[in-house]
Parts: sequence; structure tokens; C-alpha cells
Amino acid sequence: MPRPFLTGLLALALVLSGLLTLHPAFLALALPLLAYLLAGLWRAPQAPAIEASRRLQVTRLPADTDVKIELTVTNIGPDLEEALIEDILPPGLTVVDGSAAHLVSLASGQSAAWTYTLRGKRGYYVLKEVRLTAREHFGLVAAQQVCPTDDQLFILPPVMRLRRVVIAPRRTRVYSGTIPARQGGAGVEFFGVREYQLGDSPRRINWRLTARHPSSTYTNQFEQERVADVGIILDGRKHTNEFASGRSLFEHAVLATAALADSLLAAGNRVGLLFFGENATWTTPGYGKLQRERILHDLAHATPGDVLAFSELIIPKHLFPPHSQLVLVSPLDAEDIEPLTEVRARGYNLLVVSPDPVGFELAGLPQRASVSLAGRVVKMQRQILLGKLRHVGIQVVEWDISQPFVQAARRGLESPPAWLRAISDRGRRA
Amino acid sequence: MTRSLLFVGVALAIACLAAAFGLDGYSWPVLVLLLFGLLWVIALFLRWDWFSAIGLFTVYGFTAAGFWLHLSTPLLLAASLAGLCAWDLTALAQRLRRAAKDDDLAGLERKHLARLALVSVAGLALCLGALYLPARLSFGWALLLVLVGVWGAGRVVNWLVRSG
Repeated sequence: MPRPFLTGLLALALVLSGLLTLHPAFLALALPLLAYLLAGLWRAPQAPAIEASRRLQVTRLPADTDVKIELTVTNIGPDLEEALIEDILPPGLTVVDGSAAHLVSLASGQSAAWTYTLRGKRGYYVLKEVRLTAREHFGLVAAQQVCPTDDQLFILPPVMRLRRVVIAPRRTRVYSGTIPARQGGAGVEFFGVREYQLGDSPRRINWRLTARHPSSTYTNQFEQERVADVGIILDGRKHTNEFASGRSLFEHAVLATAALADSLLAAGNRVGLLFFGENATWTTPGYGKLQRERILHDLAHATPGDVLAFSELIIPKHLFPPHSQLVLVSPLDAEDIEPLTEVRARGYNLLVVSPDPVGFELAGLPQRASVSLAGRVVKMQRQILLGKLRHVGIQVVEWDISQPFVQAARRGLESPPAWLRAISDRGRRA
Repeated sequence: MTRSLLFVGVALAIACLAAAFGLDGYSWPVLVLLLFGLLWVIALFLRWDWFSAIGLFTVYGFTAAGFWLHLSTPLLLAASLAGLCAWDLTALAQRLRRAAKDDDLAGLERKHLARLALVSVAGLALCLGALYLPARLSFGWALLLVLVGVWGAGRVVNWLVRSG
């Protein structure tokens, strides 16, 4: 019940009962209440007017890093006896030092400034308003003004450094890099021999073979190493990422994506990102640090949605021609086999990094025999799913999220699996 | 300071009312008041700010009953003013909780208390004036006052409701 209404009601009740009973004391008793009410109304704040400016120490920062905010509010309206000024923060940001709300007395033309420190989860935040609630000293009447602001804060996902991510797409670009190109030329790894041609370095002559076939001279060839087109697909579907009691694997998937993008870009590759959630949004492929920033920026935005299915996955050929490398980061679903097999059939090299949803969900369930049994069944189903994917030539790296991603990457990504080496060798021989 | 004064206000309101009833030999209202006072103090500790409105109505209800029973006027007036102050200070404490530690809370409290003291003294003076200055009203004047009082109070409440 609003306070002035309460006071008025009590005073009215006393006045009426005094008049009806003709008891002067009741009327007298209402007078302090009326004095209180009138004093409040007399000093009621007029329409307040403030100007607010906010300065952020940085606008892009990694998760769990502090950012200082400096807020200055100037009263351009009438005097404010008691003004509660609140910097309205979106959910996900928390104040770790200082306060986003201040209670001050501001005379006309006077300014108040303060600094506070924020910390937040990965995300894109718009700090869009500063709210002023002006009251007289008794707090009976309030007047509010919302001052719009347009500051933005990007909290980027943390980036773990991976030593290397071994990929072997059949199609590479012309620039030199670290991906074996299945072509002889300048490189490190032995590729084959050919007849000596004018201009070959004498250092490269294969003297042993030349001695065996004295009719000609042979030169060693090394495998060219080039950069490749890599498309990272982040699965942001709600039903694969989110589990009971609001637990989500999505943050882990984002973390893995950021680490993979960083490592692949550091190796000189041309990397693009497809976020596959409510909508499919592309970060067009590019090189270098700027592209890394673009991808992290887009990852900061990413939130799970649930509209698309993988069967609707369309890889634009002008961005990623067949035989390019695709990296899918997804907990996977039983229905994903078919669309992923199709992608593989179209000639793409596909690497799947899959945060383990079974272990994740089991960790949040009570330890009962029935749960354990169900867990075993689901684990078997998942192993069958992963086996089917491997069977069609998709490289799968399973990540138990109770361990750091670096460990899973070291095991599964830093050296190619035996079957991939065999394919690469076959390709090289061909 | 606000919180200390708040406890003082509650204690004073309940003590004055209990004394007023107790001095005239009414024992059960004293018991009820003491129990209610205890509940109010617990509510203050638990920060049930809404309870202060119940406290205000209860104090004014008992004060009106006291006047009806011709109990000690100074004690009843003191109780009603202390109850009003306690209700007001609860709202102030609630607003101060939203402030930052480095705000000039002492200054705000000082200004608030000065105004509250001024209004309380003015209210008390008006009250004493109304009680002790002789005035005789004919039936017609009384009826007119009733109508004007109802109309005025209705306008005030209506305005307050509309202004939110």
C-alpha cells in the first residue's frame, strides 16, 4: 500500500470517527498525520531532469575480468532532496566493488560521480539506462526519470592455448602454412623423388637413388605446407546443450570453439565460424588477429536457441568449397548421423569435437542404481553413435568436461589418428 | 543512527500506550501491547518493513481507544507521535539500505530527522491546540465541517492514488 495513501486513510478514518462521534480528541489525533502528509506533499519533487554519462575502462574483456565503470550524473532540473540513482545492469553482470546505486542529495546544476567495478559471464551487454528516483525527505511522493545510455560491453569467452590442431583437408590454399598440401615442393616432410631439373639445389639430390640408376639424376621432393579453409560450426541447439535444472554444456562448447579458432588462426589458416542455434549466423572466413577478434566477438553474442535442425545445415560452397576442413563442436544427437554423413559425402573433411553430454548429465543426477544403469545404457548408445561417425570417416574427439579441454585436445587433436594418417598417406601416394 | 532511533520509537510508542492503559488499571491491553511490541521488534530485526504499517495502525487504534476511555492525554499523544516516527524511520531505513557505503548517509539522516522533528513538533502543537483551546460549534457548522472534511480527504486520497 503506498505510504501517502496509508497516511491519508488513517487521517481520514480519525477525522470521520471524530466528526461522527463528536469526540474532539480523534480530530486532534489526525492533525499530526495531516501535518506529516502535507509536509511531504508540499516538498514533493518536481519532474527531475538529469544527464548521465558513463565511461567504461574497456569495452571488450575476457570473462571473469573486472572492469571499472565511471558514472557521472548532473542534475539539470530542480533541486533533489533525496535522489536514488541506479545504473541499471543487465542480468549476468555483478558488482564486485563499489555500488551501482547511490543515494544522494543533488542541488540544481550539481554533479555526482562515482566508480564501481563489474564482473560478468560471457556475453554481450548493453548498459542502456540510468534510473533516478527522486523523493522528498519523508519518501511519500516519488518522481522517476530514466536516462537512456548506449554503452556496450563485450565479455569474451576465455581462450585456452592449444599447441597445435592437426587437420589434413584435401584442399588447401596457395599461401604457405602448416597443413600438408599433398604436393611436392618446399617443405619439411619427405614427399617423393623426381628427375633432376635445372635449378634444383644440389643439396636435394638423392645420391643413393642416382647411384642405383646412373642414367639419370634424382632430386628429393618435400611436401608443401599450406594454409587451409576451416569452418568451425558451433552447435547452439537448446535440446543438445541444455539439461535438467538449468545445467548447460553450451559454455563448454563455446570455450572449445574459442580455443580451436585461436589455434587454427595462429597456424595461419582462413577460419570462419557458423553458429547454429536459433538462426545460422556466419562469421565470414578470414585470417589473423582481426579474425580472431571477430570470432570472439560473435562468440560473446552466442546464446542457445532451438529452431534449426542439422538437416538444415547448408555449407556455402563459395566460402568453403568441398574438401575444405569443417570442425563441428557439438554434444551430438542420435539424429545428427545422417546430416553429418551427408556433409562428409559432399567431400568435406569433418572433425567433431564433442563435449560428453552423458557424463555431464549424470554428474547432476542423484547417485542411484537405476540412474547408474540408465547412464550405462546411454553411454553405450553414444559410443555406437560415435562409432558410426568414425565409420564414415569423421574424426571424433570426445571431451569429458570434468577434465580441461587442453587435455582432450592434446590426446585427440595434436596428433592425427592412425586411420587419418593412413588416408593422408594414401592420398599422398595417389 | 536511524536504526537506533527506530527501536527507540517503537519502544516509546509501546511503553507510553502500556503505561497509559496500565495506570488506569487495564491489564489485558497492556499484555496485548507488550506482546505486539515484542513482535514489532522481532519484525525490525527480520527487516519485515511492511510490519511498520500494521504497527502504525495498531498504535493509532489503541491511542483512539485510550482517548475514548479518557486515559492520560500526554502519554497517548507521545505514543501516537512515537508510532508515526517509527513508521517513518522504517521507510527511511529501507531507502538507506539501497544506498552505497560511501554515500553521505549521515547528512541525509540529519536532514530527515530535522524535518521529522519539526513536523512532529508542529503536529503536537496543533494537536494540543485542538485539544485545549476552547471552541464551540453549532450543529450546522459541525455538519459543514464533516462534509468539507470528507470531500477534502477524498480529494487528497484520490490525488494520491492517481499520482501513484
